[in-house]
Amino acid sequence: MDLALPLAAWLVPVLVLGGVVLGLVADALDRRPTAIVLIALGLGGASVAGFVLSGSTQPGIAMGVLAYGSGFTALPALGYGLAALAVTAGYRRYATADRGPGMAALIALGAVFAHALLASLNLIVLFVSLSGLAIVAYALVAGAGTRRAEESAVRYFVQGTIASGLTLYGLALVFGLTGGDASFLTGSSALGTAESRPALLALALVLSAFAFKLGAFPFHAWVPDAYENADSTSAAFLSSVPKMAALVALLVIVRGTLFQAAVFAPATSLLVAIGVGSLLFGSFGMVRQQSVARLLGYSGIAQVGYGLLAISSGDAGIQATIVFIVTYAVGASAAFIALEAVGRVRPGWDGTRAGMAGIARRSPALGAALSVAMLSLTGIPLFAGFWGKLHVFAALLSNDSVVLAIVAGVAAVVSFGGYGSVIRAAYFEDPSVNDEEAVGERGGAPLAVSIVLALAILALGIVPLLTGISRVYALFGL
Amino acid sequence: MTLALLIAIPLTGALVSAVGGRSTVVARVIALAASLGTAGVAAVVWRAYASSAEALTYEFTIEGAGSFLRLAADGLSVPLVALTALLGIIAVLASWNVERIGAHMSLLLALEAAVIGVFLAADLILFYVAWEAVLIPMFFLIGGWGHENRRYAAMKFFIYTFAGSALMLVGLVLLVVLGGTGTGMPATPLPIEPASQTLVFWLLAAGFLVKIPVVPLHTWLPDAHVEAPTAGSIMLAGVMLKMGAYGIARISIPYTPDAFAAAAPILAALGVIGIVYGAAMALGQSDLKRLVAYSSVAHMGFVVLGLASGTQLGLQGAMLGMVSHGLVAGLLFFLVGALYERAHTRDIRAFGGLGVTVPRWATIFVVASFASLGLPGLSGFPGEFASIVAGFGRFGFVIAIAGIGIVLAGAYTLRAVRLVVHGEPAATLVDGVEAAALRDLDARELLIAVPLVALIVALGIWPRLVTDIAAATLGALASLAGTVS
Repeated sequence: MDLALPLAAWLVPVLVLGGVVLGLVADALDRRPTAIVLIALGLGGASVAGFVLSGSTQPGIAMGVLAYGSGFTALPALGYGLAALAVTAGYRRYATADRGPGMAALIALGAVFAHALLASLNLIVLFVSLSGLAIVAYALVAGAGTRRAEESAVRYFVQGTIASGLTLYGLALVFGLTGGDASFLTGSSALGTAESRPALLALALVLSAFAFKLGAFPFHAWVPDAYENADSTSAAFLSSVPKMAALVALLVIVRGTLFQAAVFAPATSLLVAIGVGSLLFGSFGMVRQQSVARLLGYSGIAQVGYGLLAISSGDAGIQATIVFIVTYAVGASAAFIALEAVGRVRPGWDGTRAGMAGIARRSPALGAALSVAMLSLTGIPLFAGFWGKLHVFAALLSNDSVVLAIVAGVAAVVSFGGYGSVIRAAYFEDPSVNDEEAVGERGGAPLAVSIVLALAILALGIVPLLTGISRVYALFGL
Repeated sequence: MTLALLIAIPLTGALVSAVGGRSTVVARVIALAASLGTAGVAAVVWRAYASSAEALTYEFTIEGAGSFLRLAADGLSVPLVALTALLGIIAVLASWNVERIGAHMSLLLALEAAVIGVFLAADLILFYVAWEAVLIPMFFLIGGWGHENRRYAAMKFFIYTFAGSALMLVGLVLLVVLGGTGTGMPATPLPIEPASQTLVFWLLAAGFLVKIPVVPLHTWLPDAHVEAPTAGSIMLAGVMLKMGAYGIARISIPYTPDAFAAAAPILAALGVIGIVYGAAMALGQSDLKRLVAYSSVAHMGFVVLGLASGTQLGLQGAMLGMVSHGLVAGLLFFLVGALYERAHTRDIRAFGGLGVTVPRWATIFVVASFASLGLPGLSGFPGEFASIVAGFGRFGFVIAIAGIGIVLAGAYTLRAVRLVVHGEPAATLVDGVEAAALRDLDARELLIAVPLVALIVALGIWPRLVTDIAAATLGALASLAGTVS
């Protein structure tokens, strides 16, 4: 085992954990604002360091369990960046509440677990990071502090333990088949010669664990509840970074390592079934939602469907999965942080579409940022999300799956019934509350962060038109 | 570089207007300057293309690592770009007095840039990007500045056309995957293998036919038109409907000629159904704007019929029909908008005797109506005539059914003219709006209407204005479609 530890492998998480430790010390000294700043700085520094290092580091494996370099550093760097933005946007919330610094620290820890999950090449690491992420997620949902939030956190936890159980069974089977080898790299050859039925059962169990984490059909029930009841900045993190990590990890084990042997080919139809189910259930579910956060929860379910379809479409889908999930993660963060800003501009907002009627007139910048996020999530050109959807379509069609591509297209159209209704409420409806008399503010940090993310979405959407998409690939080591 | 300016100028105008458009004067100046500048460049492109008779395309490309920014202009795109630039000015002038003018002008210019992008795109991905980019400003224009049912109409418009274009995207990506030569559109693309052509053709057609629109995919159109603000209607009818027909000619015919030939009878049938159905529905309308909207369905039916024939004559007819309808529908929507601004109603039955009360308005309305019904000597005639003749040549006497539509067109046009222009002036229109108090068209409005009338007459007398410049490209297309051996 190579125990050498290059900079790219350790510096990034250490920066985050350093920020967390210092932040918690500051919290212990009753300096809550300082604590939040330290945690955000740690995350931001890790993001910058990660992007810088990813370009200059050849891919490698640290301690035999974690991949680093290139995309394995760049994608976590994106995750840390989004986490940093979520903490920044939630600065006032986290700096004033008692458990605020703890929540911010949880987001940072979650980002580290997501990094480990994304880069793991070992079953033990995979299981630990999945469980770690799950615990962070329960705590973040419960942390919103309302009765409903606590209730949905408990429900989420109960469902989650069942998923953990399934994972454990799956891993036990894999261990049995590989003779106790936990490494993806060496384990895959052992699995390749394994008997097909237990091997497929093992994959099915692991897949259901991932489906739960991703919030994919039929393990999606927790998603709308959790997103609706968590506070918006925590939801911004939950809906983006862990999903990105889980989807990439799934891609690695299904397409690159553990389960890539021919014996697992039948499982592709399972991926397709889960993917199509999520796509349709999520898209149609969105249309009727009154609560915007809940609508975004269903959106998350639908979007995961595209990711799973991309993974299902063979080698053509590898690049597509990554481009797609990156654009989704940025779009989902932007959307939830814009919701945080809505709450600032219109205090006492009840979270419904009707409640945000005419908000764009009160704050044109917020309306624009919100629309950019919604259009990007729909997959409209000029916004980042388009390239994600385009790649998924291209992957499916290269793989001769015309019907699936059509289903994906139809689902995108249906989903606009949801996304569009948010824009409609923000722009076309007349405000029911008299905004002039309400005591709302200008939007503060959440609005600033939404604008930054909206600009990033536009840049990612427009620049590839001029330079070609390859520059964007290069960012993520593709 | 000139071609890029056609997109860059309105786009820059849109950005500046969005940022600095708080002041009404600034917004107007920027919008007018940008639309005039675009039209100027369009004129330069027209002349450059017309004088270089041998060049089939006129290209602009950013070379580089897989850039999608490839632009080209040829006989198919130059007239439509010129039409877009012209109607761009008209739309700006027509929305001189709207609320929140900065945002309105910004969206209008962005719309113009996107539509020109569709007509100039020489790349399948860029084509789709521009195609969808058209939706966004139109969605906000309808939803933000439309009439009573604007919210519903905006959503319906977006979802309907997005449903078509999502399928079209699948078709476009399939073209790229099957073609295997990248996303660029060469001057004469290689058709894909015949076995896959049918699938690709119909996926693409889903996008194109919704946009045109053909019956029964047209139901978004009356709602969108009636609810859209005047400038939105002008652009929607004037140029956006042409995007679908343009797509068939630009992409379907060269890439999937066999499937196009096989589908031609179906397309022709859809065209004829559109002609008859649109005219019949127009006859039943009492809302003047809705009437013009349904007449658009009928006119686009002629365009589809001409396209379906696949012959040089039919394609010329389609091109003439598109340009003519752009001018006529643009003018009619402007006139109806101007009337609505004054009378606050569009109900035909509320008017009467406008020839006495607002003679200038009435005169121009009569000319536009006659052009719309296809009176020889005005722009509507040559295109419809060529389409019908080409249709007879290719599909035989079944096309005579379209004659019903032509008769109905006379009926609905004359009915509207009779009820609105002739007769005794009604004393009161609605809610105490006195008919006698209606103002006639002012100088700005005449500046909009008169040039359009002049062009309508010019094109009616001298259709070669358009057909000469389009001839080479349409001839090449006709031979691709297999109708010229």
